Amino acid sequence: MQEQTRTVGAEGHLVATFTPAQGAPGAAPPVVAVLSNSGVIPRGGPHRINVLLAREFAAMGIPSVRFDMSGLGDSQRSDSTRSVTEQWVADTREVMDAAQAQFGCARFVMVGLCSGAIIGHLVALEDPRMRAVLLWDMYAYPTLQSRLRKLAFKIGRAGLLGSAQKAGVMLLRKLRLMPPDDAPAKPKGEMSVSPPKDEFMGRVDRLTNQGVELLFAYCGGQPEWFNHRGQFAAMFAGQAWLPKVSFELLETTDHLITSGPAKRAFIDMTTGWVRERVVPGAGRHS
Amino acid sequence: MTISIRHFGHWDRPMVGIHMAADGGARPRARFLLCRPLGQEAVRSSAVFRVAGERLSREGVESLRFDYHGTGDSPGDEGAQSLDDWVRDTLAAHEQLLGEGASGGEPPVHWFGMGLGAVIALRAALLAKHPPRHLVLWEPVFNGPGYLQALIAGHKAELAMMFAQPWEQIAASGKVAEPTLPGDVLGFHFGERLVADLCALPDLNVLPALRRGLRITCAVRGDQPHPLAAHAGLSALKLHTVEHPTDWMSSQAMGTAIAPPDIPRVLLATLD
Repeated sequence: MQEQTRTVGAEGHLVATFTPAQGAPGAAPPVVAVLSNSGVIPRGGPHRINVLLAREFAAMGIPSVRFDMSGLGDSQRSDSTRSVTEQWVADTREVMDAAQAQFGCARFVMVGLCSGAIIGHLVALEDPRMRAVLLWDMYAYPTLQSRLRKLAFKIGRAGLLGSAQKAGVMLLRKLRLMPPDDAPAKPKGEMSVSPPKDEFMGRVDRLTNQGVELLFAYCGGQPEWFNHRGQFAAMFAGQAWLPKVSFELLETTDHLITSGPAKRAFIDMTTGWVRERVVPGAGRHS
Repeated sequence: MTISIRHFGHWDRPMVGIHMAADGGARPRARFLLCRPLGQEAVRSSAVFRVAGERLSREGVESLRFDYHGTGDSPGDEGAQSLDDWVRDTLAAHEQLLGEGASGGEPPVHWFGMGLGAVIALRAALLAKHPPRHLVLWEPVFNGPGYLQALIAGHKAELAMMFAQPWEQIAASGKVAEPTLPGDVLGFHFGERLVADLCALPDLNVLPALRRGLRITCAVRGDQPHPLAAHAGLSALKLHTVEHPTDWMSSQAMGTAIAPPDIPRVLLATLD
């Protein structure tokens, strides 16, 4: 397997690594996998998961490209005046152009990790070549049960006494018998804010109507945010698209896919979904 | 600012590097080889290396940053590496950098190494046929067994943060297993050869490199006595206290790229 790293894009400022598929040289691949940053983590992915995925995809006969969006990893900032989100969507499409020229395939699947998931689904809304997106730890919306579980988790973590003390402080602050918490609120970036639920559901409706495969996948390490298997169906209850999308919860995997077993679980989930929903029949070359 | 990709290294140890030319296409006033740390520290410090390369370029300095074979974006089996392998990779990267550009009046070459990359650079500097003029060691690993302990502690702290629970609680829940070396720690596979090397790693000793005529700057955090303080009077050795201490083993500042400003400043000071 001969990987090739080069600069791509109209400005030549994006660094991308192309991994060809193993076996059947010259044959057009069924799809090209797109791998990118998770937050500010470089194109190798959290704990090198994108490198491992690229090798796994290659063995399945699927080439891939992993790249750094503008200003991340090795890629330089763009000269454009676009917003960060617009720029990263444009970057992804430019990399898809380069991958299409390299591999001769105009069908793409993106493994979107965290912020990459946001970019992946926005690209799919703009570009019909994006046929499938894995959405890792993307938006979640609270439900009654998730709120109760979050409360139970917090009590379990702090203990009854600690929880009672925290509740007391909150009450005293509310009654203005204690000075307010003057710690500055953490600034939220463009990527950290979930859109209104109706808006997001509308986007998913559009994508599924266009035949885009979506896998909503969540880690088990966000108990204050997405904390039980039933939360997915509950937060999107009644949506016509719900049966059309896939869902997974990896309970022993953390957000950054740190441990060896977590990596294996993530890779198995991803390749299993690709075989089942994106490229039925994709195998594994020895 | 021009970046371009370099594929180099011995045929059985291919590597990928990012070359940044001096801004404006001018003949470089110096060249810098940038040696990354390992594993999670390499991930967390990626912005440091990009920002350093860009700053150096603006100051007329050419640079090459690269991933050792089996790490980052370079091919290779992560678990089959050793310190000596990476010393040879660093020498190959140095040769690559020396081969850049036109001949005649070659600009001086300096090296920057961070974490374990500083240890590798220091070893390689003793073997290089044309050694670097100045070596900047940023938060080097001073003690191998201590580094291994820090990796284990960092692994537990990271997963405790990720699962928002103390390590003991998540271990009891069966979500995580006790980390062991050799093995997967902090998201990377530390193989038998590397762990054996680190167990046997002696305390950092800069004297052989100084005797070879290199100038050395060594940066450590201010919350510990400088391990090289006994040599502070040597004219070729400069000690620097890190101005913005960062836990490079933690992803705590997830979503925030960290590039302490004193790093490019110290690199540029080597040019004087």
